[in-house]
Amino acid sequence: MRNESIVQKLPSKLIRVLLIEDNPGYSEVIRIMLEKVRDARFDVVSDKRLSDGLQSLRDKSVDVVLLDLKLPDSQGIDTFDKVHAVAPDLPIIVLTVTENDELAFKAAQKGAQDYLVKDQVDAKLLVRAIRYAIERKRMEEMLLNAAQEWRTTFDGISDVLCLIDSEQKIIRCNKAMTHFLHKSFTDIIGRSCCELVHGTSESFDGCPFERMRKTHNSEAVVLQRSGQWFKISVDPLLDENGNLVGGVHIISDITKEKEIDKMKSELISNVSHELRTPLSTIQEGISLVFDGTLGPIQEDQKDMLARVKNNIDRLARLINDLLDMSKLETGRLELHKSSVNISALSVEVLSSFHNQLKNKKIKLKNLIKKDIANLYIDPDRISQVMTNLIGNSIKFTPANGCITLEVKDAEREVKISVSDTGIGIARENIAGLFDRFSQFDRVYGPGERGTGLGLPISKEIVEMHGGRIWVESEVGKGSTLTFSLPRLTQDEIFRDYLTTGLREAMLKDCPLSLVVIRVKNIEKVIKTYTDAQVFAILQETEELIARTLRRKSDIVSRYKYGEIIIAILMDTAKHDALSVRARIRQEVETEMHEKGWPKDIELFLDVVTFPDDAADETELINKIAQDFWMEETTTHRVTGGGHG
Amino acid sequence: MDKKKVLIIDDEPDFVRVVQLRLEAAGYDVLVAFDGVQGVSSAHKEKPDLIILDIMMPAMHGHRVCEALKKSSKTWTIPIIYLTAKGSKEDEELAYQLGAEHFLTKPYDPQVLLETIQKALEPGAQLEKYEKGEKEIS
Repeated sequence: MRNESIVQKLPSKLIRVLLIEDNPGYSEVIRIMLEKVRDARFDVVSDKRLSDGLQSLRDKSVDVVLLDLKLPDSQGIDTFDKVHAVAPDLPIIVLTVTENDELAFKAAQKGAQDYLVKDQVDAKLLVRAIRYAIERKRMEEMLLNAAQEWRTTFDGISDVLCLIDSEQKIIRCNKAMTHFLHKSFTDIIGRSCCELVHGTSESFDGCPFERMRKTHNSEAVVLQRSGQWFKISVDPLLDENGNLVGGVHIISDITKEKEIDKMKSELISNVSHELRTPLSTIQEGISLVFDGTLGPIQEDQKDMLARVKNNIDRLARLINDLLDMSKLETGRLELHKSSVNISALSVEVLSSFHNQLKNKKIKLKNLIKKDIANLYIDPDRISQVMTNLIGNSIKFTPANGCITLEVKDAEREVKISVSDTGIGIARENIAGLFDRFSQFDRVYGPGERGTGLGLPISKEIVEMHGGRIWVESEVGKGSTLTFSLPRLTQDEIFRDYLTTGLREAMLKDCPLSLVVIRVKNIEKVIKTYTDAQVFAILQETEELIARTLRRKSDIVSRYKYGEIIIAILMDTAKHDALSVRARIRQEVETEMHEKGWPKDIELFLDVVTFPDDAADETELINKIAQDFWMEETTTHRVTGGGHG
Repeated sequence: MDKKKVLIIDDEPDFVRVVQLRLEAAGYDVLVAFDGVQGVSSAHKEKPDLIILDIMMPAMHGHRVCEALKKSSKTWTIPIIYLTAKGSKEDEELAYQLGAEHFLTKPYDPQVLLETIQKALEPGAQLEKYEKGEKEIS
C-alpha cells in the first residue's frame, strides 16, 4: 500500500522502455498498450535479438528493460544474466510465455524486479509493473548507498569499533579493528572478544563488558599493550524492554593523551622540586632575621616578617600538595605499608597540633580507643590524612570551639573521624568537597588559607588503602569528616606484600625469594597440643625469624590462617636464599633446644624463587601450595591469633 | 669544649649561606663545599665532626659522595645528614642503605635540623652504630 502512494506521486515524465522480444506481434501489443496510457508517456524501443538489445543498452538511455528470456540467440536465465551484466543498475522485468515459478524465483534472486506471464498482461498491470520496478530499483539503490555510506563511515573511524551480542561474540567490526588485531574480517566476526584480544576464553578481571552486563551502564577500562595505552569502553545496547542485547565496544588509542598527562605531571613535579631550594633559602633567611639571630629587630619589623613567614609556609604546603597530587595522577605515589598501631599514630598526630589548638583556644576531645589490633597501612600517608582533616577543622572552628578525634574499632574496619563545632559546610558544597581546588565560603585568619588539595589527596590515599571517606555537616553547627580503613586478613596482607614485592622485583629486574616455614607434622601436633601451644610456638618462630633477618627490606608474614610463616627476601637469588634458610634452621634449632620446645614438633623449610621457580604471582602461590600443602586443607586449625 | 666542625656540601651558595649562619649562631664551626668532589676532599682533609649533604649537585651526585665517604676508612665514622629537595622514598631508602645517619628535606624546620645535628653528634651515637655494624658484619 505504501508503494502505491509513492508511485502516484511520481511525475509523469517520459519513461524509456527497452523491449527485447523476438515476437514482433507481441512487441506491437505492448507498444499499443503503453501508448494508450493517459497519465504517463512511454518511449518504447524494441529489439528482436539479445545482441541487438545489448547494443541498444550501450547506445541509448533506458529507464527499464522488458525482457523475454527466450530469444533466438539466448535462452533461459542466461538471457537475464547477460542483460544484468551489461546494465546492473537498470530495473529488469522478465516476460515468459508460461507460468514458471522456479524460473521466476531464480530471476528475482538474481535481481529481476518483476516477472510477467505474457498472456496475462493487460495495460494496467504492465504500467504498474514498470513503475514499481523503477521505484523499487531506486529504493534498492538508496538502501545500498546508505549501507555503503555507513560502512565507509564505520571504516573511516580511527578508533576500533565493534558490535557484540550478549554472549560477547563480535557481530560487526570496522577496519581499524582488523588492523588492531592484525586479522581479517572473517577471522574476527563471530569470535568472542576476550578470546581475540586477551587470548583467553574467560573474561579477565575488570572486563568492562562483564561490568556493563551487570550495571547496564557504559563502562570503561584503561589498558596498556606493547607500550601503547588504550581506553576500552562498552556502551550497552538495550531492546525496547530494557533487556541487554549486546554492546558497542570502542577501543581508543590514548597514548598521546597519556604522554601529555605524564608530561604535565612531570612538569609539576620538576617545578615543585626546583621551587623547594629557593623557598628554603627564603624561609631560613627570614627566620634568621625574625628570631634575632642576626641582631635585634623592632616589633613592627617582626610583625611584618611573621606575615611573610606565614605565607612562605603556605607556599611550602602548596608545593608539597602539588607534588603529592602529581604523584597520585601518574600512579607514582606508592604506599609503604606495614603493621601499624593506629591508636598510637593518632595520638602522635594529635600532639603535633597542641600549640595550634592552644593558641586558638580550641578544646580537644580525645576519643581514641586504645588496644586496637594493628592495621596494615602506610603510617606516613595515614598521618598525612589525619593532619589534613584536623588542620581543616582548626581552620574553620572559631575560638572556644571544640574538635573531637574519634578512633573506633569494628570487625572489618577502623573508623577515624574528626568533628568540629565550626561553621559547617552548605549542602550544595558537600558534593564538590573532595574536588581539587574547591574552597568556599570561608573567612580566613592570617596564613590560614589552605591549598585546596588536602581533601582530594586524602581521599585518594584512603581509597588506595581500600577505605572510604565521607562528610556529615550542618551549617553553623559543625562538620564531621570520617574515613575508614579496612582490616585485612593475614592472607590478604601476605598477598599484598607479595604483590608489592614482585612488582618491584619485575621493575628492577632482580630476583625475589621466599623462605617458607611450616610445622611438618601439624596433623599429629594439633592432636597432642592445644591450639594456643602451637600458636605460641609459631609466634616465637616468627619473631625469631624476624630477628634472624638482617635487612630492612626483608619481610616476615603469615599465610594460610597463620600456619605458614613466609619470609619475603627482596633482591635475593636462590643460592643466597638457601643460605638464609640454613641460618634460620640453625637459629630455630638452637632456640628449640634452649627453650625446651617439644621434640615432636618439626619444622619444614623450603625456598621458592622468582623467576627461577615461578614466573608470576599465581605460579608462586601455586608453588607454595604444591610443595608445602601435600595434605591439602583450608580449614582453620590453629586458633588464637592476630598477626605480627 | 672545642667547637664542633660541620661540613655543608651543597651547590646553592645562598642556601649554604643561610644554613651556615644558622649553625654558626648555634655554636658550630662551619666549612662549606659547593660540589661533591670538593666535599669529599674537604672531608678527608678537614675531618669534620658532621656532614650535611645535598643530592642534586653537578660533578658528583650526593649519593655517590655518601658512598665514597662511608667506604673510606678515614671518613666512614663521620655522621652524614642528607638535606635535600629531592625527598622521595627511594632516595631516603638509598641514603640509609649507603650508611647515612639522617635524612631531612628542604624546606627544613631549623629546630628539627639543630636537634638532628645534636642527636647525630651525641657521644653514644657513633659507638652504638659501630657495635651494630660489627654485629651486622659478623
